[in-house]
Amino acid sequence: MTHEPDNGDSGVLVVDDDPEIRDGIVELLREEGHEAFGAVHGGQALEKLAAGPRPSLILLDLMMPVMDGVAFRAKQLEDPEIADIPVAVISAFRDVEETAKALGAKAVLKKPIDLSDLFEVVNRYAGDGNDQPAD
Amino acid sequence: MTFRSGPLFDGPLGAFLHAAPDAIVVVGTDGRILAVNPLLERMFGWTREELLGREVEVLVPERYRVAHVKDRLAYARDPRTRPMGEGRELSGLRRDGSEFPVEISLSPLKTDTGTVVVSIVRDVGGRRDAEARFRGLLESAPDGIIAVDREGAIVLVNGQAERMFGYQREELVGKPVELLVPDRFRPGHVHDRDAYAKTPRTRPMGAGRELTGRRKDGTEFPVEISLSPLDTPQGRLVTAIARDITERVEMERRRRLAEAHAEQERLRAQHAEEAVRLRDEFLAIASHELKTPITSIQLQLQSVATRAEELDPKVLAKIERAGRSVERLAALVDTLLDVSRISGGRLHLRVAPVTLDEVVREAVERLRSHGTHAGCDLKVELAPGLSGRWDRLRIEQVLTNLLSNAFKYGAGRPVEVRSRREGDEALLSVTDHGPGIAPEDVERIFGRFERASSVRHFGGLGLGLYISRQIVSAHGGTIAVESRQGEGSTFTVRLPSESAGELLILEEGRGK
Repeated sequence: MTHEPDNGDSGVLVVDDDPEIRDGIVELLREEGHEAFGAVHGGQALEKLAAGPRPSLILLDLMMPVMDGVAFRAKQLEDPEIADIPVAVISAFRDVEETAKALGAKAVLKKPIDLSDLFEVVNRYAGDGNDQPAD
Repeated sequence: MTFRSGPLFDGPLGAFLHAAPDAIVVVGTDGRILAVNPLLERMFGWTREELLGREVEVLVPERYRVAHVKDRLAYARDPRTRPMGEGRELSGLRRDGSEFPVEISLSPLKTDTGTVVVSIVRDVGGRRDAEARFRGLLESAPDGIIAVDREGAIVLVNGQAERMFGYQREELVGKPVELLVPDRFRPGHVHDRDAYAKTPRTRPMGAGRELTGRRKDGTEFPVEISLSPLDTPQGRLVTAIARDITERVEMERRRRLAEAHAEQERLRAQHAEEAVRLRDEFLAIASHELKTPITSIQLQLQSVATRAEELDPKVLAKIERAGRSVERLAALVDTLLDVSRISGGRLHLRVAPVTLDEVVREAVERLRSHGTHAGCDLKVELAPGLSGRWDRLRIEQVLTNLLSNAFKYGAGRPVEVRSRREGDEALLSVTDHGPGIAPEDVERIFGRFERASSVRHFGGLGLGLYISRQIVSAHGGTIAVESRQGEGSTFTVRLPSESAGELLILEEGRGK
């Protein structure tokens, strides 16, 4: 059973090469009632965006193989279909703010990510989720 | 031309006198002048008429006249051809009273009227001058000059050579030049000298070799020598111009030493730089990599903790404990990176306009639960509108350090955070009511790996204050502590509103 937010957008795309982080966040968000799905790098994220439902928010790691966060963001902004999907940067670099700002990110979540910060960002851009777990 | 004195000097003899290349005076046994030639007239400034018949002493300076008369009489007893005044320097007296050096050779000439003496007089003033000039030149030369004859005997040395080798002139003249060469080089020197005699030309000695001189006292010194052949009436000499190059050699040695040091230093610095770069790279990657699993653990723990109502309180307490440990782990990872940067002098600030009370409120909110956990009631009194150009994250880090310390050492008692303005500075202080710090520890606690409390259970690496001080200093500010033992401590950070603002240099890769 899936949840459709009121604005017609659908869930959160988590782009991170680390499976524990990616799947962990996807699982936590689903438990909170969000539609969530993952991509292992920027290239896969673009494919999923082209093929699947349009998310309300992209959580974007910066350091990834194949296509990193910066390259992904550049591609995203080139494509008018997906350019306006808000992005929150997730990074282990402590001084990531400037990069995030340069990328036009709406928010920065620094690793280790605090759960409440994660929910706050997600709720702001992807709605409050569902009362019921989505799975 | 005839001589009035008599027929003797008429005819061929008169003509000879007239044509002779030297000045000649002919004196009778009574010492009177019988004949002179034009060269003698010119030399002494008298005319023949004035001289003929006068005693020859008219040509001798007054002080020598008595001796001259005696010598003349002695010569008359044993007349033979010889130079006059052997070994002495003779002087002539001109009509105008001036004197000049002369060389005289005497020859008896038997005549019908008795033996006359023919004196050939040579003005050697010019030669003496030339000798004096030569000697002057020799002495004024900055180098030692030694002339050596065919057999290698020293013929002449100048004062510089005497001083250079530590000998008196008399000790050198006539001795083999090998006296000035160290023993071990003497055979070679004799050989080289012979070779030079065969192809003498002006050239440096020892082409490319380092030459060594030997002083009278046996000490040695580096010397540079150039050789020239010198042809003299006494035969061919070889002149050696010698220069003591001790100073130059020493300077050269020092220069080479300095160069070698500089090169070593450069390599060392290069290695150190490379080592630091590798370490930084490693630490940056390591901290990045460590944070990934930490994130995962933290999210899971926090997620479990949100279901508090489903959990046994004991389990919840354990989960929370694990959560705090993970947070500390994350902080330690950052600390390690910071210390590495500070010790490498690469702590760079990213300054931007910052409002102090915002930073403080955020940090306080983030740490409030820690305070609660430590049993510290947290009071915050902030002056509004304090702002400056600071590195927001770094200031937050300082405050986090100070608050963590306050909770750690002042557990169970209230902790106060205050801010105020003082002149152009913003002051931020954190006060605890813990055990306080002994006066002798006050400075020490800002060093690396120092902790004021000896009580073992207070954890941490003790790097927080060290890092804090470096951060505040980089802002052009200060951090200090006031403490009373048994009453607690107040740490005060002073920040200039306009921070020194070091250039923004990215410390890490930008997520690439």
